[in-house]
Amino acid sequence: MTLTTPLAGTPTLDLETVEVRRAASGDEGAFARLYRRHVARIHTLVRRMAGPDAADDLTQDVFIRAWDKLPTFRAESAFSTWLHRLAVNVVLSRRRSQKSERTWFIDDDTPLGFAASKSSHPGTAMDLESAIGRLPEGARQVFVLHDVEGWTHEEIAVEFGLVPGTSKSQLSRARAALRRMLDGY
Amino acid sequence: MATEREELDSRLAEAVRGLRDTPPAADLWPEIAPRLQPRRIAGTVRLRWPTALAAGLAIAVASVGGTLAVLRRAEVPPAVVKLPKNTGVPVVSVALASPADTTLETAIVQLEATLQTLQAKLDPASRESLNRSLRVLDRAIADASEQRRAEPEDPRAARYLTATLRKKLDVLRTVTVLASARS
Repeated sequence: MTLTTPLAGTPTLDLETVEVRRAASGDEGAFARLYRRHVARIHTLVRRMAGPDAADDLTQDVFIRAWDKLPTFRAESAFSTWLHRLAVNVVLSRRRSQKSERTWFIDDDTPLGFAASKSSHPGTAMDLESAIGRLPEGARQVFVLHDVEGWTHEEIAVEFGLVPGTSKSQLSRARAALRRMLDGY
Repeated sequence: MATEREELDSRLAEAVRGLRDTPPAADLWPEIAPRLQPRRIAGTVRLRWPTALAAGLAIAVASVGGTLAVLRRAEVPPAVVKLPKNTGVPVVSVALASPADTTLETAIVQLEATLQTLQAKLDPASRESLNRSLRVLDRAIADASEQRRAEPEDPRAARYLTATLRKKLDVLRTVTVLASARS
């Protein structure tokens, strides 16, 4: 919502810009309002990437880290974009802190038995959510970032420390697994 | 004719487009709020009422006075400072908004954006003096915000915050008008 008519030649300034500046200067009330505005988006992203069990804790971590880093936010991108990127980093940091990555990605030997059963509610968005949740975590994250969030393979590769080809192959396998799971359309 | 795989891919893409964001089952804010570290701005000193009010505004006024003096006597060539192109609205009109803090802050943000353009064309002494004054004002606003948070029911805290915001707005408005007048 734009509060005032912006000056021609100056950036469009809205309520969120003001709230971000207030929060950056220490106003917890402004930060609470930013939380309310963005929590559904962030929680959904985190839940899709890391699974429902970790979603609440990670969402809290995202907002606490956002509070800590907000004074460094330079508004070179939208606040929502910055927060989204921060959330991805928090999820990936958790991944790096975990030791075993054996089942992180889908490799040629990974049994896709998890994909054998079909949905009980074919053709619904909730059905896809459930299917995404059954992918191995790394493949799931590649799928979510690329197909749901619109990232490029190059961006994903940078965040994961991979080559883009690995991102592409994981996406292809994730889609194949999802097709099997959703074959009950 | 689409293959079965293409059809499934199409359905998958359609399902992805149908995904919706959903909030957490429980409000997470009560867990988050106690974990937020209070902001600490380097160089600030915690002051109590009414010292904070007097000190904050006195420092701000003194500092701002210096800035304006520098700006007024600065030998800036007439063509050095220009408003951004296509500026159709007078700068000061933005600053004459309602006294609500949010509106004040919005006006401040707008004037800062305008001033950022102008500032690059100021001479170094004026720029340094201006930035020093704005830092003082920002510290005063941070202190006022902290007081407001600490004593949300205290009307003096509310007035102090509004007064410091208004002071910054006045400074920005004056400096912007002075600077743009030299264009």
